Amino acid sequence: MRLSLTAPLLGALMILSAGCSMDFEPSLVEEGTILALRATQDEANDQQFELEALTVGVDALTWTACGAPWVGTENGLECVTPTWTLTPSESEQKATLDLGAVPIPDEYKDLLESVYVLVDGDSDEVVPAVLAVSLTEAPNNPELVGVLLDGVAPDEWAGTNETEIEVAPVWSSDEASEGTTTSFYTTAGAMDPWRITEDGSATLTLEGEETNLTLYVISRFLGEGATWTKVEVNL
Amino acid sequence: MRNLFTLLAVTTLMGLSPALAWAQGEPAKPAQDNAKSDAAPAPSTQAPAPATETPAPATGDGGTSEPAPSDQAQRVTPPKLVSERPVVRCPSLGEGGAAKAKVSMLIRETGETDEVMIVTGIDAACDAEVLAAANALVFTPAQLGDAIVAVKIRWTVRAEGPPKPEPPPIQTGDIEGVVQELGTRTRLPGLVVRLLPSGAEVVTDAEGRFAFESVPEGEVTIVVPSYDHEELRTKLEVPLEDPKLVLRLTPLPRSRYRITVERPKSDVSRVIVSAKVASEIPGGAGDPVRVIEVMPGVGHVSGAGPGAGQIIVRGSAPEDTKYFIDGLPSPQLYHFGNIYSILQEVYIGEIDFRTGGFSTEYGNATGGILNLTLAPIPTDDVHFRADVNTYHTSVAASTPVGDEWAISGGVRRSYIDAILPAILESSGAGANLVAAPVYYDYQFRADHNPSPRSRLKLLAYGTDDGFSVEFAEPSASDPSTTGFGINQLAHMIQGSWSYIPSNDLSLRLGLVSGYQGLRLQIGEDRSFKLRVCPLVLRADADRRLSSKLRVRGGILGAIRSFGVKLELPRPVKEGQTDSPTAVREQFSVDSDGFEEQAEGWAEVRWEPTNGFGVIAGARLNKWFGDFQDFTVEPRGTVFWQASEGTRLTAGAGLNTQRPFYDETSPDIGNPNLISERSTYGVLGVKQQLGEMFAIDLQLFAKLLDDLVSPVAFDPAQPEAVPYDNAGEGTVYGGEILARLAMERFNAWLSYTLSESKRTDRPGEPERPFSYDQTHVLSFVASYALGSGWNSGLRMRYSTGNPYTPLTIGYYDSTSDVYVPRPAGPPLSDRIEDFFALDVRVSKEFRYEDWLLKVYLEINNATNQQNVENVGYRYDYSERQDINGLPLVPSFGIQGVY
Repeated sequence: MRLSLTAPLLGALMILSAGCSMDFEPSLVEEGTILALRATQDEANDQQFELEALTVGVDALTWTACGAPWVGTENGLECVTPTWTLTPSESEQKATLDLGAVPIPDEYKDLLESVYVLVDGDSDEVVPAVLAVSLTEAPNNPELVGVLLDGVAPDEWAGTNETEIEVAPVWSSDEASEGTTTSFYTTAGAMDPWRITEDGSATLTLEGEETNLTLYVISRFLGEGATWTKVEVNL
Repeated sequence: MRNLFTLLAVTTLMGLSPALAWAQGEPAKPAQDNAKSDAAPAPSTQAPAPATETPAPATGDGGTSEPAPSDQAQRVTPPKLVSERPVVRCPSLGEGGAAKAKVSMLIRETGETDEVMIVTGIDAACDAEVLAAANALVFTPAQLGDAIVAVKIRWTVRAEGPPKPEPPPIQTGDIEGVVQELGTRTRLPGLVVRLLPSGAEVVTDAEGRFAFESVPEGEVTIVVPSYDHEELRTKLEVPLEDPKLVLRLTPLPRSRYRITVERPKSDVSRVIVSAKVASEIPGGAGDPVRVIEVMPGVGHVSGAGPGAGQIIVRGSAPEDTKYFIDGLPSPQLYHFGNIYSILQEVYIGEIDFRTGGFSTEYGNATGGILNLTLAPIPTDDVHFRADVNTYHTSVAASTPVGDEWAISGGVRRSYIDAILPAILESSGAGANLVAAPVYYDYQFRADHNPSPRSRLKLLAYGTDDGFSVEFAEPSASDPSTTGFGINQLAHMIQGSWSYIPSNDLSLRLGLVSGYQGLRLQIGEDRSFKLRVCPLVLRADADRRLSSKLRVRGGILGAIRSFGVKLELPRPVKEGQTDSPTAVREQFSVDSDGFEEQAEGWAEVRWEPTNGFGVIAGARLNKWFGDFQDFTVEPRGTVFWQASEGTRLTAGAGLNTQRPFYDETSPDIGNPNLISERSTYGVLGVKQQLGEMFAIDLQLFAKLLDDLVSPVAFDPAQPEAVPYDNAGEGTVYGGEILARLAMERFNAWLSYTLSESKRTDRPGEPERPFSYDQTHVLSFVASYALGSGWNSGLRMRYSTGNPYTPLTIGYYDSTSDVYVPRPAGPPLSDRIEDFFALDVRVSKEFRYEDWLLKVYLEINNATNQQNVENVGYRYDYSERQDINGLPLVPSFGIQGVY
């Protein structure tokens, strides 16, 4: 018996493996980036979700929902079912998903397991982001409560002449980091590692010429939820 | 006395002396001579008898003289010798010498002799012996009428020297021996062994043995001429101290792959290569099966990405080519990535490769058939082989057991896991590769040959491939992937028994069973486990009905027990845009079951004239289980030897192939799919130009239908099938194989021009297959430098594979991955063309009974940065190709006893 899985998977894995070794610096973010999206279920109304975006230099956001996964085509992103637009908040960094107002035929509603929300910027340079909001399970956002810079809270941190700063997530409890994947982004320098699993820390390496920067620490239960913290660092 | 005188008178008158002389065994002499002689005076011992002594005839046989006509009344009866006729020994005569002495003597009435005197003597010593002998003679007395009378006669006595000593008997000796190749001990059958100076000749038997019986003693010369070896000429002294000779012939410094590739006359697209020859191909690191890479019709085998390390035949997908060992299905022939084949060279007899138009004997393949025939185990002696090269170390040993059995075993272990990371790291890649591919394999063989008509071949083999990577940090392209591991193993046992009950009938029975397993782990959450236990039985018969008509046929039955555990999305199918597994729908499957398969095939081969023939046949395939189907595949071939150097072949027919198992799975596929179909036509011309050059042209075309195609997801129909049989395609092209075979220089060139296209469903635009390579060119050459040195090179060029260009689609925040979207139509772009040059130098050191072979290969000698597959930056903003290996030297050393 031969299964067609073997060769493609092996090939894909080799690509994956090779891709990992490439000399990328993904922790350095540029203007016009949507770094993360998250959903929070309204405790009072489980039909409502508050959606939030973490962006770098993206002011205007559009929020579009679809009952099926977004599919990339030659012409852009398409959805095989009807889509509807969510009204953003004033800052446009947030929007509300109200399942009671989903404008799709009733016969489809019962089939829905997730709603896929596409968030896009006002520029072609912005890479759109998609958040899958599960309708069967509540969002599971990690309990990341902050970060420490060289072991102290950012507001207590007095700056440094060193070119390396340790950045450590702070969790609500010792167990809160279990199962999480945490990404570190910076507007200057580079983080190493730029992703960690569960507890740990990353080192921000600077070139010595920076005066201030912004750190973004995003923690996720992959496929379930996200939490982030943003820190302005004055060196 | 009166009587005596009377007798003397009578005999003298009658002239009886000659008669008497005759009676004594001497030629008769004229009476006058006798008279003269008689007249001579005789001494007492030597003097001749006086004239008055006229002897009467005296014969040993009692003959009597007739009475004289003048005296009818006086009938004379001569004396007869009663005693033994004496032979006197005279040493003086020397060994073997002889002489005669004449005596005269008186024979008295009593028959005793008296008055013996030498008439003609020899010498004194001999004469004394003669006298003594004559005195001892006893006669019957002579008679005159009825009266007994005394007579005087002359008598001749023979004297001889001492007898010559008997010549010693002629000495002879037997010569038996065996002719074998120097170093390898390979027995050489069919060679003439000539014995000089007699000129006797014998031919070595199948085991290389020969024998001369009763060779006269003395110096002889044995001469063994051979086309492939230096003539052996050796002097021997018969009888030999050890009559069992071993004659070792040194191979001529000819190209190692002179016999390269051959197409059997009745097969349209079939190539057979000896494993021994194929293992010398540059770039193959001694692996004979990798000769496939330079066969006509075979595309470049990518080293990375989908289809990595698999065989691409005439644009078909790798899975469309099926593997067999000795005609029985094998789950795999290569360790993954095509690093090496799973059987050691010593176990492979021939690589039998069919790129299309194959016999109804094989089915369930719309691409090609690769069959490895098993090499017979040597029955002459114990053999041992060790091979240490850049990739692995292997050992194998074989021995005959009794007269009918021979067994063999071998193991191999790779150490690429220790070497590859260093190579990749030095080239700037693979910093995160913590464990490179590792493979093991083993083989056990047994042959039972109770008679020339019966043969049993047993093979147990196993292979275990592992490849695992643990990332230092989560993957940039998919943080849920912190590493992956894959393990592929098989433990199989197979037996095939061939029996020839008569010259017109041959039967074959084959059985294979075992265990195959595949385990895949991606990160913590995605995994795939598969186990399959197949039991396959096939029986084939070949019956010659007449000199022009032959019928072949067979049946195959298979039961496969399987178990699958899967936590994965569906595999990406050809033409689909690949995307991170994290964003694809994940399936959870835990199932097991059985699948049954029954096949039957038959074909008639009719050769009405010598050189022209038709083969027509059909194959039936029936599938039971989750996937059920029944197909009938008619196929036919025509071949014609138009002239001595020109052969034409043509074939047409239908091949069908079961869809992949994931496609027919009730859990993630569509069990109602039917088999894919390929209707083919092939036309071939082979032209031999002189003895050294041949060119072979093939034109081929395939019409594909019922191809499995993915069905776009429709949320309104979530239960809709994910696959259907709406795909269609075409493959057409031509290939050339040109061969040049000179004494020391040999080369072959293969070129394939083809196009393979398909649509996923009617109305959709046509696109190339994923493995469509417009141009594929291979060139292999070798030169035998002499003194055991050989050199060779392999050059390969091919058009790059099509791929779908990707660009940034969107960022999936839920899974923290970027998802691409196509930047153009499916498979609308191509990676760069592939080019590689491999060179090889080898040296053989031959000793009497073993040889040492050392080789050095430079793979990718031009350090070409070949793109094996397209990769992307983690966010798909930039293409990052995956290159093949840089210039890699490969070293190997083999010892063969």
